[in-house]
Amino acid sequence: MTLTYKKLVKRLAEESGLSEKEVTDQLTDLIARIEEKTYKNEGYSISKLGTFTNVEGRLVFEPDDTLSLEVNHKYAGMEPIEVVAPYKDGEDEEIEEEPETVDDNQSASKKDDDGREVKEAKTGGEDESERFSPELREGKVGNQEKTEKVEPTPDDNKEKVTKKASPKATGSKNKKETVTDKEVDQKDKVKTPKEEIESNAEKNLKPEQEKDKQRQKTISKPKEPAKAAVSNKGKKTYRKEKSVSGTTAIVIGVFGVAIVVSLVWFLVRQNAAKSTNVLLGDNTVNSQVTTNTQPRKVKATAKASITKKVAADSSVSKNKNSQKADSAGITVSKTKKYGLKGALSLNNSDFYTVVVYSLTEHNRALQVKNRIDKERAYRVSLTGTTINGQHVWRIGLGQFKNVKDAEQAASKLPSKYRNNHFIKHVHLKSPNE
Amino acid sequence: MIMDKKLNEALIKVIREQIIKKNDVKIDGLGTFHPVHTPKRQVQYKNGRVILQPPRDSVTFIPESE
Repeated sequence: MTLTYKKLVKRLAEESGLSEKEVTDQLTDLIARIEEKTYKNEGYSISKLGTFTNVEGRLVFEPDDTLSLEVNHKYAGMEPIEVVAPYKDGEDEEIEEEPETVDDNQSASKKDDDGREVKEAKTGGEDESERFSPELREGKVGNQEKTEKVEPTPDDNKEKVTKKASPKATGSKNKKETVTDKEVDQKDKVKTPKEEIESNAEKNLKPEQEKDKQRQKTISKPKEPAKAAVSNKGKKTYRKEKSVSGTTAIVIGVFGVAIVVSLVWFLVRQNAAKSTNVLLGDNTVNSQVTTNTQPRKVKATAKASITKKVAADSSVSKNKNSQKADSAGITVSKTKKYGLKGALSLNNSDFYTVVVYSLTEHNRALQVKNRIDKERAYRVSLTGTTINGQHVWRIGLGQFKNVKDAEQAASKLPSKYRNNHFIKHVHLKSPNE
Repeated sequence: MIMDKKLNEALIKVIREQIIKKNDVKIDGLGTFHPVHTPKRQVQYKNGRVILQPPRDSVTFIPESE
């Protein structure tokens, strides 16, 4: 959406109490001054907004640090994550083309240590909405499936090899085992021409056509008596093939079961992670995992159509004057509007907070919130957000007027929070909203 | 002519507010403030290092002359 010049003038008139004409005049004057200054290669700075400069005849705007921080408040505090450590000599020099996959050897070597990280790295190039959201987890499962599908390739090869080898193998085995049968067979085949010759001799040479017919008959005839041998041979070969294909089937089955078991294990692990719901700053999760989850969350928040809900349910508004926490965990008090410590001020419905936990289970969120309440004297807020149908509970520390204050406070938090947080704008809805 | 203090404050407030809401702000004769979202991206270095750059929201300015 664009705020047009007309609307801007109207808004400015409303905000400043000046007439629209006065606003237009002053804006025109401001624009003229900016152009004049930049024409002279002097920068024109507007406090809290930014600086206009002239770079090679082009008007360039450099936003103020506070504005940049505020615009980027969703991702404030997020650092680049190292997915694969350098394994060659040399300094960091970016390869222009984005790699689709990580080097197999690397991923294999990383898998032992932190396989999850590599898997996540593979998802890295994909769409951002998957991060943090349930879809992401499914996506990870998808990748897991992919890797697991890829893993059995040697076995597939084996299978192919066995399949390829099986005819030979079975053939050779059958050769050995069905020698007698074949000999019998060959004898049968050898016998027939002899018989033919004998019969021809006896019949004193018939015309050639008849000979041919006779040959055909004699060739076809011996097959009938050899049927038993052939069938025996067939049975044996079939048995061997059956046993070989049986072992192949067993091998396939074993790998199939292994895949299913590992999938189930992965899903169970995911569910366990869900149930523990520790995505940010939890002691139980190692730093790599948490750092990896952090951008996902924020990504998801960025792309998902976020419908912000006030974590505090209706009881919050009803109990505005009470001093105790309500069911949603918001403590009401008449303390200062902003701050890191103390009790949460519900008089302040619009603030920034340092989100240190993001959980999908409300009970778990309440437990964590209560733990923080007991352990430290932070003002803790619990807010809810729906991301692609998945409700997420976020535990924030402090109430701050702007992102900068929140960042400053976050820098003084214990390391587990300091290194793993993001700033969130909270707007508590009034009961009428 | 010095700009009215209230108007100056209002201008800053409105522009900031709109940019944070991811709305463009067009000022005739000057240009357009345009919020930009840079999605996360995977970067590979020649030494094998692969990093995941976090997403970023920023504001750019498109001068009217362009």
